[in-house]
Amino acid sequence: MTEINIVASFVLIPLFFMLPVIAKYIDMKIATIQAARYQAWEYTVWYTSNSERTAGFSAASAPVKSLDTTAREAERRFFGLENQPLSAADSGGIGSEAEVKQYWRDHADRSLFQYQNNLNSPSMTTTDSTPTLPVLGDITNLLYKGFDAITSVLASVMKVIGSPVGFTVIELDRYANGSMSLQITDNGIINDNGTPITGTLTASAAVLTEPWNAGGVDHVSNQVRGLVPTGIIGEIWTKFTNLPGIKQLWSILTFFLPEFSNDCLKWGYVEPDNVPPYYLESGGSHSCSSGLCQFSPEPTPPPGNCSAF
Amino acid sequence: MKAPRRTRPLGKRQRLAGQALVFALVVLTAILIGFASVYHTGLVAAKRIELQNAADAAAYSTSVVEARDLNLMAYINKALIANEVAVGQLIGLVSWTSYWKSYGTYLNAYGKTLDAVTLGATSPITTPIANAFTTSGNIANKVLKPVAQTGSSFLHIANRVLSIAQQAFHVTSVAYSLAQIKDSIANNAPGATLSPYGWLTLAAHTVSFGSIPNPFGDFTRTHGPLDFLSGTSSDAKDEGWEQLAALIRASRDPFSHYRGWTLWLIPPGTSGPLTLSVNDSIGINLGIAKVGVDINFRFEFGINIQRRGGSELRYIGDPKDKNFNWSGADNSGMGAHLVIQANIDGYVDPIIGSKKTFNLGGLDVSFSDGRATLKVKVLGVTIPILNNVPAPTAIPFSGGAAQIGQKSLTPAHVLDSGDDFYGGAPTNRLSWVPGTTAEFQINKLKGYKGLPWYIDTTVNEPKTSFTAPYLILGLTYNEDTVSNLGMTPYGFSNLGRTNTNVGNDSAGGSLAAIARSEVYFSRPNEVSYFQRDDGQEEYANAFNPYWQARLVNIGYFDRLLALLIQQGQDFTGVTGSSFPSLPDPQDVFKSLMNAI
Repeated sequence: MTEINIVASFVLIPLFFMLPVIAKYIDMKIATIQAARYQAWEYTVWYTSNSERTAGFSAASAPVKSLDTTAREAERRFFGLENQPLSAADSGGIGSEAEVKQYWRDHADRSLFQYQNNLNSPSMTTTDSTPTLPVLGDITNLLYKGFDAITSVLASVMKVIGSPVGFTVIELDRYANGSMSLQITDNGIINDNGTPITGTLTASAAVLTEPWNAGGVDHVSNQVRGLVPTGIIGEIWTKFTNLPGIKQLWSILTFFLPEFSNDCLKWGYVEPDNVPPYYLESGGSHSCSSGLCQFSPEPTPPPGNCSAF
Repeated sequence: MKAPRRTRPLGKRQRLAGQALVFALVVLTAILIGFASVYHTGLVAAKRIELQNAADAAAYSTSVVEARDLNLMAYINKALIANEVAVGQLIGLVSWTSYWKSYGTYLNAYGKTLDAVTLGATSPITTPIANAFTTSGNIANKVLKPVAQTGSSFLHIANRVLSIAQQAFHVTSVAYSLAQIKDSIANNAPGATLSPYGWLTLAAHTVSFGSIPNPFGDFTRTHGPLDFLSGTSSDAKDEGWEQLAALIRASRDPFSHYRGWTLWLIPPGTSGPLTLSVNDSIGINLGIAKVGVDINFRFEFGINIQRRGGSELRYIGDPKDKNFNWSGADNSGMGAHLVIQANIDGYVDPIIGSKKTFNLGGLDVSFSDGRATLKVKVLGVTIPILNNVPAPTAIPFSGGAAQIGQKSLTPAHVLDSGDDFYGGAPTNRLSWVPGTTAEFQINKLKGYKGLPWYIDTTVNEPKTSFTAPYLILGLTYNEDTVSNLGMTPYGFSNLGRTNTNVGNDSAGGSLAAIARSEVYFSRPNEVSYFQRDDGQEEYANAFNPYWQARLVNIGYFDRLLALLIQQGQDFTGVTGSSFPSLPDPQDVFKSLMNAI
């Protein structure tokens, strides 16, 4: 009996109590991995700040969620109370012990999660660290960055004159890399200095975001005209002919020469809708006669007017 | 000598001593097994989640790279088209200068002709005006011709650069995909690797996305110097150029499409000709029947000043990139519009029976827009004397033209193109005789060497679930990583399986995960700023940058294939009865082997 008492007191009972605690720590580890994934994948939909918004898009406000907000949201949704509905208040993170997942408590009902200091350090970054394949990756990045540098200079010039025209979609820094840490403690085990033992569970996740797609018809036009030299000239020309005084003179001139009105001769014109008809639900085809090719059915003529009458 | 020690029989307490230790050891062993089981299963589950995250991230990120490539492709295709239209605009400007200059030539000619009637009073008036047109037109022509030539060359070079960039981005997107797969694995599940199944599906996907000849079919197609990569046939090449030419034609601005107008002099201040229309019926009632005639008469007359012009892209000979030529034509004139349509039908409408009608006669005369028609109808028989034949319906006031390209057009090409081309300029037929013909040859510019190379998507349906636009990636943790967890990979080899015939060793000692992603096109018509003007649904294409990426479901067949290749699953003895309502895996694999 003495042996059983000794074994039970020092081995069996501690092990018995440790078993669910281990299970809870594993649950915390898995929750940390899921929270890290949540953080990274949120940026397949959201931007981290307004500065990340693609230029030339003004049709709607872009969805922006800060890194800090996402980290706190992840904390609340993965480390917080179970079965809670999603709420805007989740961005506040965990504010009290009562909000911590109930399962994460030891046999004495003490929390295993140190929620107070959990998000003290930044846990999320967006980087341009991809791709890191030797040589090929460098060449690829150089190609993209070189192309982007040229078009960005033109876009900057256009920005100076207040035009949204410019090709700026190449963004290599949309690699969302989320790292989540979870501060754990066990009040049942005291270390040498008399405080409970603590530790940190960490997990990371990363995903490439931002497929460079356009945000609608105007956005396409603004971006594409940044690749069309006459689009840039046309934008400057339109600004010039709208200056006070010049505008009136231009109106008189184009009354007699309506071909040159801004409603007829559209420099850098980008047709937003036309695609081969077989890419439309109505279908269609193209045919050529005498070297002249056209679609059937013919698309709608471009908007505009070359007549003064 | 010591007497042997006499053993005493043990007491009850002594006999029980140590038995608790046995019990403790049994309980301890049970708890330790439970402890180890919870610990290791937990770690394996955590690793498995990390691995799935890595597979998802790698697959999704690869599709994002491909969406970037396709969007970039579309932006560049749109830019190529816009630059081509700009060449058409520049040629249109040169054509306009010669058209403007020709007002002087025509005025002088008409002035001298009218001098005979006005006893020389016309020329003194018309000459200074003609000189003003000629001088200003000459200046404009001398300025704009080199501008158009330089500008067209520059735009042509810009398009070549964009084409090369498009091809380069397309090729390097493969390198970018591989690089980001490596990164995604390292950042989500360090130590994981692509499984043989993952390599197989990635390779099949890559060749289908990258226009490399393969048995699965192409997702993209190159029209240009790299088209040998996709094994494009000669017909497909021609199709590619013709498609682009038609798209450029459809994407012209109003200036290139139709830079014209019509001013009606008779009747003045209207937007159309004078129109008179009579529709009447005259009859008498004879008691047993009504008899009479239905008269329909329409008369249109007008005189107008008409200005026509436009720019066209066309090829001479075969539709190759260097055979394309931009040309512009402009003219104006005083046009006549005459339409007479008369028809008389007799009828008998008896009290009993239905009404009977019969044609008595009619006339159809049309003289307008460069065409003439004269048809006479007698007792229901139409006699066509002129059937929409080309006719000089306008007196020309001016005519100009210009062209650029390595292959040259002749005025005959323009006249024969059809009334709808060059903004209707061919309909002003007389202007082509004295004016436009010469100008067409004078304003022949150089520096434009045809259409740009480009890439677009095909309309082929993917033949497998892992060729573009789909991608399946399979990842595994190798044996060492799993062993480092301190256990053999028990348990997970049977995860999700209902068949007990499947052995525990079949996973080849590794944790595995598969993920499937897709690059897809989405232009939501319900969102106002995405909406097409015609309201139609737009399908996947490389002419609009609306490509995105997403994860998609993995099919039954893909799971079986992954089990077979990735985890070395032996399906011997597994029958369809093990998978209720699903195809027999043996049959599926037989089909696969046959297909291969």
